[in-house]
Amino acid sequence: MKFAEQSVVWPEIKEVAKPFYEGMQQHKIMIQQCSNCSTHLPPAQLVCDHCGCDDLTWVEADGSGEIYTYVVYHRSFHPAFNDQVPYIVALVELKEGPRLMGQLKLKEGQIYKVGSTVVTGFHKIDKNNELLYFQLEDGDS
Amino acid sequence: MMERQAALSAITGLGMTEFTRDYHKPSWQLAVDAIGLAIKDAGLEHSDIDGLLLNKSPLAELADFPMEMQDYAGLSNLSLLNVVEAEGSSMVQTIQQATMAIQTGMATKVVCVFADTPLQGDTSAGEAFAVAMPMMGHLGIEIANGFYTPIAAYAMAAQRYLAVYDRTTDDLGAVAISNRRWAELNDLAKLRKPLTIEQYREAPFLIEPLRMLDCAYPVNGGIAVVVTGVEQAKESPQPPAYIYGMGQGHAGNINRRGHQPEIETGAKQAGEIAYKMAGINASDIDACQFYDAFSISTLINLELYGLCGAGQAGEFVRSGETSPGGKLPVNTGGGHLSGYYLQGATPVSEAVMQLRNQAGARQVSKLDHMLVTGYGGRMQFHAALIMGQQERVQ
Repeated sequence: MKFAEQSVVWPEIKEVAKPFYEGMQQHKIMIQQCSNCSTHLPPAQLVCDHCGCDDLTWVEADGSGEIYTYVVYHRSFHPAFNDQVPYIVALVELKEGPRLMGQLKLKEGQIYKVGSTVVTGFHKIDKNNELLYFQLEDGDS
Repeated sequence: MMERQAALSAITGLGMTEFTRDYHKPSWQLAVDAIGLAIKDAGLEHSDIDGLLLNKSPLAELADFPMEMQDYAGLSNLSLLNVVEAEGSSMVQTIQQATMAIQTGMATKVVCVFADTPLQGDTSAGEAFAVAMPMMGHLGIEIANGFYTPIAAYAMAAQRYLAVYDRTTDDLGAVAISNRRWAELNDLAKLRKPLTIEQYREAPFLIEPLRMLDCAYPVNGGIAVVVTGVEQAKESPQPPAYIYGMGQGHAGNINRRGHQPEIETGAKQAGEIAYKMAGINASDIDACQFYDAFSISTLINLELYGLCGAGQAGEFVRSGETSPGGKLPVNTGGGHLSGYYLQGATPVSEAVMQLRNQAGARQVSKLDHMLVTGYGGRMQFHAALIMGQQERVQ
């Protein structure tokens, strides 16, 4: 896999989201869980949208899920992505429930659709940062 | 049988600047021009105006559209002044706020104004909107993934819609064609060449499943309206465009199982509240002016406002029901896709022209109840009006 040298814009990370970003550097998908109703929440929330509880803990997600929806960029809107076009950005519903965004990286000939099972991988997007991506589960093609 | 609500307020003035693809003046100057035109159209003087509600474009800085607009526009007798920031739902929200202020006596003649200049000299439309917008609540991971432009959030919604209901992009194309057929009849519209489904299919994807033809056509321009009470409206030189019902719906941005913010939006709630206030059902709606920055939103809005069954909007549009001569005319000026994209002011301006019977070749004949809507963000902020031509005294 080839990644652009021009730097991808890395977000300014808010304190509340640090566990998620630090988790990615250790190849972990960190999500939140409500200590009251056990609902798993996508990072990074202050309050559980289900019960209103504000005692949320960080837990590691399994990292597998299903494609919920996706888009295919047929043109680039930022120089760092010029040589990646066409590229796929997917929203994946993790096994635990929360949805995360990431690129979908395909091997030659793989077919995908909404509902396809995926697993998480990580790639280095600059010298300091690793970013999650998704790939089809082995065996799917 | 529900009791039909007498009018709450009326739009009596409409001011529109020229809509251009080149840059002439900043948005605050366009706003001043539109305000002056609207006041004159309403048969009023500047000194009559006691309310000003400003609809700032979400792309603009607050400094580009400040409270001082009152001074730029020469309005020094205000008992109501605010910048309403509810993204694309703002223009409808200004009219709702004006109506509430008039109903409570806080103001009597309120100007609501929008102006924007996304196209500045050598900035193309694509560049103007090619920004990284953290629209979907994913913490900036969006920009690291190359998830640029608002188009992408709507492409996510479109793909989800097509997958859930097992539809094809021809449903999106049907919306683009319906809008274009109306634009062919509208001198104000920017894209007026006939469009066929074959041409639509041949157009390349921009962010799949959306093509350029699924996206709004931006212009520079300003639009203002004057909102008054029903008694005041009787003195207006123009036929009043009455408001019977208003609603909002904000369903949040919940990105987890059990919620589908892409296709289950606050439009449903906004519609139910507005219909109830007006004392009508969805089946009473004769025509719609939707905010339609992307084709997918018209399909979803037709369904969530109760005008079509789930997943059936594409067939409904393809059958011609929303086109000229159809039983539910939608976006009768060409909408955002083929008419002109001035955010929430586009549907409002077309509603007023239609309700005055001043829409020329595109005039719709029966307009007892028109649904006029705005939405913002990734379609999570919604506001709706039920409008019509009769005062409906009770």
